[in-house]
Amino acid sequence: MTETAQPEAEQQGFEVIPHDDHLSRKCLRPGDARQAAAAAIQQAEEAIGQLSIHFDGWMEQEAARLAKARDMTLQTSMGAEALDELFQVAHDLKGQASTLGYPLAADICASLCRLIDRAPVPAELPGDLLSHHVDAVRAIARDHATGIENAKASALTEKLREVTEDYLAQIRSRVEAAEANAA
Amino acid sequence: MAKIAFDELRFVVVDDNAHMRRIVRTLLRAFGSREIYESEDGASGLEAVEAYSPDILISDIKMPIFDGIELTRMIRNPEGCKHPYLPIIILTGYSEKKHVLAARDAGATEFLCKPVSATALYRRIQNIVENPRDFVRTKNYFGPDRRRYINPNYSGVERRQAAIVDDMFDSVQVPAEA
Repeated sequence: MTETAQPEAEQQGFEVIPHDDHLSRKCLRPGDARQAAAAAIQQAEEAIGQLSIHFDGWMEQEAARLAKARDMTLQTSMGAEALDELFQVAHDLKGQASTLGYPLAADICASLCRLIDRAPVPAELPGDLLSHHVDAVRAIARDHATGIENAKASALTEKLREVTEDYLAQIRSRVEAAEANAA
Repeated sequence: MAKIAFDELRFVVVDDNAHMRRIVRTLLRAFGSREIYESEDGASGLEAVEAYSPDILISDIKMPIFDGIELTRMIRNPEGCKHPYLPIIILTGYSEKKHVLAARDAGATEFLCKPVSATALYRRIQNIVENPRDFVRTKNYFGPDRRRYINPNYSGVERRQAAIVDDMFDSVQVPAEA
């Protein structure tokens, strides 16, 4: 990229450096872009399809990692470091589970992250509710409940989301009432 | 319009999760890329950038040592990094608006939310190759122009001139709050 002197712009406090085309010069070739993109994407989807024979095993490993983080959280009575680790593992899995073919596990991890993130006093988080999320993810991984068709996994996911939202709503009401009383 | 010769492109992929690295590597290989280097944290990612001079960096946000946002900032430091103009795709599960804005303000070129798909990754790379953006240097920012388009109907004051310190740009599309 070539830097262009722009004295006026510099006086104004910013400088625009025009882009260069070195990447396009390096890798764009004559041809039908749309056809090439479609072919490349199809090849990539087929490659992911071949890789997917590993996904069930990977999902079980990730679910075990989540359970380990949950165990540490409960052992330390919602210790801040352990809870942060649980959040991170759940958040990672929220991003990964759909790629691995487990969208319901991703939804449960999203609910778990929301529960941890939105609770005003993390130390008072209900251990049972945390555990139910983690156990549900483990069950889904163990039973290879991929997709969104599994009725039991789907109902479980919906129930966890509902209970979590109820809990967060109750907590919010309690905090608002306490603030109103204090005022 | 032209097709992309992926075999001419060199990538560095930084993610602390080995499964995600393998998925991204599989996608890039299927696109046709042959040079893909991997790192599992921000520090080794920065070393890989210096060592391999990639054409495109793909990085997660949350990683040990320093994260993808810090890595982006370090690369966008012309005094400290040899490749300040390197195109950077942030690939993350952190789709919340604050993370998108943090990535943009650190100088990321593209933002891609997990779960990753072949189509979404291809489109980000295609955009980098076919539509390179100007760079902007202000007191507080060095990186790709954060405005994706110029609004032909806008008749107000240029924000860079009106509020350089604030340096806000409003045209980046961000997903809804998760």
